[in-house]
Amino acid sequence: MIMVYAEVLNGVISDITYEILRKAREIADHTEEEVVTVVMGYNVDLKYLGASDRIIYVEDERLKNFALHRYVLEKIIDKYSPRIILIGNTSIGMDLIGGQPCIISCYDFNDSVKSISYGGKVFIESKLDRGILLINRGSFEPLRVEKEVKVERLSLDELGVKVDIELVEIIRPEVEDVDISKAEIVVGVGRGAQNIIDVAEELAKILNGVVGASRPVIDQGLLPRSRQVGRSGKTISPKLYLALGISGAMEHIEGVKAKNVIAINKDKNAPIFRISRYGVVGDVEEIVPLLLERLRS
Amino acid sequence: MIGVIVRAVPDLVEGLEISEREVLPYRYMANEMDEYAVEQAVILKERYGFDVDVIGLANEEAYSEIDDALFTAIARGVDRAYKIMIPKTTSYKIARALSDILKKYDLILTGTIAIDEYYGLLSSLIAHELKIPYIGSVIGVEIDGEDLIVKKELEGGLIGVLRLKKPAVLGIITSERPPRYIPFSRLREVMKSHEIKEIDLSIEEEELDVTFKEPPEPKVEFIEGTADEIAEKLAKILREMIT
Amino acid sequence: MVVQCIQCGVCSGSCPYGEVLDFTPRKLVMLFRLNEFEEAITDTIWFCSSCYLCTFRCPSGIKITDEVLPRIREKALIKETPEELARALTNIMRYGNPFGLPLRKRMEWANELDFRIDFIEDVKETDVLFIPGCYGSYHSRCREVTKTVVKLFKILGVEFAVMKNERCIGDHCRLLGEFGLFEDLALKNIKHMSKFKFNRIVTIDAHVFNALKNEYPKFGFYTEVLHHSQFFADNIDKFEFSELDYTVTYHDPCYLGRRNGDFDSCRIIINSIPGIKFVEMKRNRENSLCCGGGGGGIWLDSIIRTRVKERLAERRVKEAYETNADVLVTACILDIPMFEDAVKVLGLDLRVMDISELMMEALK
Repeated sequence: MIMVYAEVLNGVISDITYEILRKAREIADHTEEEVVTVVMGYNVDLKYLGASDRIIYVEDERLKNFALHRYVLEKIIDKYSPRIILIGNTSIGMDLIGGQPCIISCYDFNDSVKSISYGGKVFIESKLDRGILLINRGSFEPLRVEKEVKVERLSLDELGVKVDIELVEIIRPEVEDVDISKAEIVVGVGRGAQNIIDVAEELAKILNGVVGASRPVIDQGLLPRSRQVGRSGKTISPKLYLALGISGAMEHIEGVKAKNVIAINKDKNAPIFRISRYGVVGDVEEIVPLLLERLRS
Repeated sequence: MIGVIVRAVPDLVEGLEISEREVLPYRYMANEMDEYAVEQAVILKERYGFDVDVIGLANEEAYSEIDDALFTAIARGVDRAYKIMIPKTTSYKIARALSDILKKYDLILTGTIAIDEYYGLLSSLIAHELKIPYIGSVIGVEIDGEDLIVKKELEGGLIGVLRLKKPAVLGIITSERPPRYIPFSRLREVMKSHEIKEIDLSIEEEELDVTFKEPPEPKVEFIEGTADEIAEKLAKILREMIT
Repeated sequence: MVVQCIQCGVCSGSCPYGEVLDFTPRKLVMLFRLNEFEEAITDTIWFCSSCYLCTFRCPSGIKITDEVLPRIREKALIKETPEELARALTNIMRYGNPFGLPLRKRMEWANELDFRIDFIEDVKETDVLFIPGCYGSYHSRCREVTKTVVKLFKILGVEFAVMKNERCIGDHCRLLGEFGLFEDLALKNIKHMSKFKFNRIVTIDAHVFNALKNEYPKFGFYTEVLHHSQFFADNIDKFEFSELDYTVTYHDPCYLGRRNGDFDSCRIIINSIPGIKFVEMKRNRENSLCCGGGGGGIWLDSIIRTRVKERLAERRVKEAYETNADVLVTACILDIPMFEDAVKVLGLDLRVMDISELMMEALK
């Protein structure tokens, strides 16, 4: 049995659950195992979990508190003895592992498990006969299937979980402005692109990202201080950093820990190209509007 | 009493020698999240008057290098420092071996994850061995009578506030304030006036069947052509990258 | 020493940050004298860029820059160190440079040359030990100056070598009150340099120049130390410059000019390049306005900009622009990133060049 833990936040099943389901389905079809998705929460919409063979639903108001899930999962693993349990490598997911054998930060698995460690500098291949795999976000494409699936209901009281942890509240911090240090996609505006900040903002919107900037742009008051990327600003670690007209001075680079950098700059010797995956030597004011057009279509 | 666990981990700035069967660091340093845990413990000491111990875990190569981090912890306000040598083993065995000496603490803080962890999370495993609650990804801690009020970082910038009873293990991601700077001369002073007590612990060895390799080396690829062609190619790349 | 202070206020009036400080230099000297300076430890204690103007003008010879400020900051470091600064100092302590980059990358600039250079650890003996310093080694813009100087050495036929195992020389640490760290760096550097034979040291960083010349002897290290502008000025006859059609102004670096008395080396060099029209800024020579990078200033922008509307570098660059110069020539390596940033912010049409880069262009 392949067990998938459905991560629920504020009553909604997170994307990562559907990403994991795709891989679980792929493996299960190959090994002819069952994919059982475990959902803990209250009033959760199970509509898109159709890729599962079965759903185990522990519905209880008390389970809005994710801190209890660790103990519930323990009981369920005892009861059903799944071969592999798949959980998202997230804040909630990492709290669940208990004493189970567990490989963290996995990006793929078939016969062997592939994971990442040492700050991303080492790729690891290992074997796990039984246990938990914590799967990184973005490892697989989400698989949402609208299909009726057998739901087995369990009672929290019957499972005998008695833990004194209370979820007091979930705070959504005041958004006076965006926190770029948490963004997955950042469009960086440097001096070379400061005349097209509005275009950059459109670009960021279409990519579902945020706009950051280098110091000279911030100093001119063109964007708020909270958007500054660099040594005396914020450190960003997005999946993608689109550096527009940014030279890549040390003071700026120190704040960039992106997985992928794409840079556009007039100067072919701009230091930003040293940390880029893709580079364009050209005029941002010319290229970015055209790029925006292409993405809109 | 608060116990903080600080692990010696590879210094990634200095680099790693990666071969199929092992990863050899050139130098070691304190795990960054564990340093935040030390700072958080000292903040709690300042606020509520706790006694704080720091326990350093280091393998043979890092056994003397971890002293710097432990003395720095004392300079920051920790009361006592201990260190334990760790053999080639897993977090599971370490957690089991530590459970006896950790029983005396009301609160155990350590980093949620160490940068060289890939099999199990020591923070969570310690809680499992001691059969006490565990909350990870913690960014703030307060005490309210007998209760702990813990702020846990969730996805999307949300923060969960939880109330639980001591004893507990908290996996720290960041402290409420950045770790205070300790001037060089102050560190030297502490080294002269304090001692790190070594704890002899018998920990079962365990070797895992894993292979290591370096990630593929990215090199910048320049996209060429007319402005239109470039825009086209970029759009394609962006679409691939963000899905 | 401090008892001689007559509270005249020349220091406060001269201080480039005078208007925004919670405690002006005059007040700091007074509190220091009474040994009651705890209250003076506020945010603005970090603003001092160690420009030396106060000390230079003090009629009583009070060592404000080298003693009073650093001693107060020593206590401030324990109280609360700004995060940006803490990171730089921790990096220097651990990796020997403020960038947090490994030692093996310190000499990477040498790979960008199309000829090989000597390392003192290999050759053991040389004429000139060339010290680029942290910025000259790791900073992407500053290493262009390092490479230019090395090329000029080659043109002159200088026998020189660089140190693979170079650590931060530490002048800023000293000025920030991190005496323990400064001593540790000095002793380590001296121990390493003592293994080799060389006749003199040449450096492109005015603060490196200052520490090696004036502070390292206190640890028993004696050698001839030259700033690269001095070295090239001494050898100026050996260069055949072609005409450069530039209007040029020169910024006297605080630690070459005011602190160490050399206002002439760069002027000699500039005036020996034909075709150049040289104009002076309003504040020149001993009145030069600091770029704001010294004394840790380059790692304190996050705190300084909360109180200051216009950075020192921006003020200075405007002054340069007002002379109608095409090029602002400078000689301390820190000036380059400080001024180039300011030029970007103000959007001015002004080129910033190190004296060696001006020379190189005249040699093409």
